[in-house]
Amino acid sequence: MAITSSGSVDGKTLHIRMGERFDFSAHSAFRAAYAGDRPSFETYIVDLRETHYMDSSALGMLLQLKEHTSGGLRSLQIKNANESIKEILAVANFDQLMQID
Amino acid sequence: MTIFATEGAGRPAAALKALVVDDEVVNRTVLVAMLRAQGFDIIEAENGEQACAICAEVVPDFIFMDTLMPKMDGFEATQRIKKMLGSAFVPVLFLTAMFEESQLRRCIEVGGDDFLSKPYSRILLEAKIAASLRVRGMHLDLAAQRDKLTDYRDHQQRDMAVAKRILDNVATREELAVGNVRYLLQPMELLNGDIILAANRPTGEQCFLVGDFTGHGLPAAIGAMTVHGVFMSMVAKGLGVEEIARELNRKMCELLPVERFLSAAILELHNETGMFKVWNGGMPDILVRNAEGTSISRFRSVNLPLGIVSPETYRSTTASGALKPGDQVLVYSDGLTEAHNRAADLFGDARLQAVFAQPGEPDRLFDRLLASLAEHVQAAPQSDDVSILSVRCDPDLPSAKRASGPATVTQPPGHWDFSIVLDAAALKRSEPVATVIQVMETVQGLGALRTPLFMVLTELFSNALEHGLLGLASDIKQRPNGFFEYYEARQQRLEALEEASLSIACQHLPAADGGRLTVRLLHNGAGFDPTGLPSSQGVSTQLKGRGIRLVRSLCESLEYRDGGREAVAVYRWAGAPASA
Repeated sequence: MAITSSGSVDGKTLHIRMGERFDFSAHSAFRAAYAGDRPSFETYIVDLRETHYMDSSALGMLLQLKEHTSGGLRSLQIKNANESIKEILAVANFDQLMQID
Repeated sequence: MTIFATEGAGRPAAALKALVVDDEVVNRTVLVAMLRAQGFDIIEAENGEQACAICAEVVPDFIFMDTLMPKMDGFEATQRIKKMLGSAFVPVLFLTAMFEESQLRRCIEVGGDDFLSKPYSRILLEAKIAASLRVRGMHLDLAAQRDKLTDYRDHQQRDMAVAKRILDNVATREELAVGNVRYLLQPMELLNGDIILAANRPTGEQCFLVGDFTGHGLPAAIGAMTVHGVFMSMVAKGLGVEEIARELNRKMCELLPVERFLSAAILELHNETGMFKVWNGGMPDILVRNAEGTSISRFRSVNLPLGIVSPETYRSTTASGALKPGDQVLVYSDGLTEAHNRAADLFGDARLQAVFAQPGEPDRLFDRLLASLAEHVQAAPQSDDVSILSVRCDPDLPSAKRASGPATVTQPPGHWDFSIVLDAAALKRSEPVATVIQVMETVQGLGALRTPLFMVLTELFSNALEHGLLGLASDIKQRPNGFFEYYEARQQRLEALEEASLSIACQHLPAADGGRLTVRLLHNGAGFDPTGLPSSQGVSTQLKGRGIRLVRSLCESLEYRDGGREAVAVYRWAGAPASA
């Protein structure tokens, strides 16, 4: 499970790029990507371009990140999700909670 | 040096028992003296046979073995002893006068742990003992950990089994064991992360909940207990799908950690009229197949699952429609469409559709669906809980009929009255009928009166709201697909409603052998023409006016005044109440 995360040069955006599977096995790595002693960002982007599989525990992890970003004017965006993952997010109506494009 | 330092952590350093096997008395005497000096208790054997006999009685902690002895040599004895001791680890150190490599190798092959050639120095012997005891210590630690894990697992499995029994007892399947319902609950583990609940409203509607918790096992089971309690009590109070969803969301927000939630579908079906309401939050599309199998409509998830949004910001949307006799509703968890075979090929929406598009009776289709699922999955291990609920609209269902029974209350008839007044905003978010019934329940104890009163109030309220305030014409329902149109229009107009006032006043007076309840509904809408209303005797298959006929048949009188803006119904009940 490879997760890479990088903060933008201006320190405003955190880009978290998920690996092939976004499920419980990604739990600690996903959390470590934004929590702990990581500084706070204005925008959090979860990039799913490489992700083929996502389950309901991934939805739970996104909710944790959502909680982490709530307060202030911070935003959470999901990017480059493939059709089947978009469908999972749509069934759960997560577009009401975060920006999905 | 201290040999006991190598003992497994946490064990008392009791003296270790050493078994010394040698046919030469001199050899034994020298070795025994050295071992005693190190704190060993000693048992001696003159040959392999004796050594075996001793080990059958006591398990030594360490064995010092000569090779060549009469009766039974050290090789055979070691082989037998190791076999006898099974998984218990007792180090065997060969002390041998032989030097050939093949013989030394044999020491290890027969199960010995190390060897030392005679004559040996005290220092070398102590070093060998220390090394073997270190291995023994690790072995003991591992064995202790393994035993602990086994105990823990056994304990946990017993607990899980008990939890499952409790859960099964709580979720009584009585309401699911009805002629028009079929279901499958197939948990992946012992405890299910999915739930299917059913209960009947006092007005006869069947209510269902199919839920899927994130995660499985114990946390989900605990959540299921709460969902069950909330659902059952709210349905019994006559509350609707919308209220149940809101309350469950509140409860789940309270209980579940942020990353856990409950996807759910909540349905309500009035079999007699086919009126159908559905709330879908995070479940796959709910399918409705017409009796002929010529059309399948879908109710998509339009709400967030329960337990995500705080009660303050919670918004939800309920869809309604009307079913015809024989129409079939199918609700399932994503464990069905995502069930995979060994090739990781999913069962999928297309296979589900294919089964459902075939002609056939709902029950047959349900069986075919199960067969198709089993055929696809074969022996592949299950990776999610699978739940399927199928409900067929059946107007002849006994529970679809009005409940009848002796009309007794639980308190002596009293003199009481109360009223509530609702404005547009209140009408949008509440179901006042349930509230009114709740008040009457508190002051009078309705007993078996609950069901007929619920029906009377529901009909009067629906008429006042839908025809009086929202100006909906019943004729819409006559058209094909009219029920859908009607309830869609109802929802739209209710949302747009601005100036409105509706009051419900109830007055109860004791009568000779029972009581007399007057219900007065008043609203400020356009009203409607009450002259065309059917009488209770009129037999009509039309959907229009069905509600008014029902009220007339239950009540002593029903009167419309002020151009339909005011309805006054008088309900009488007789029979002495249970003595207070």
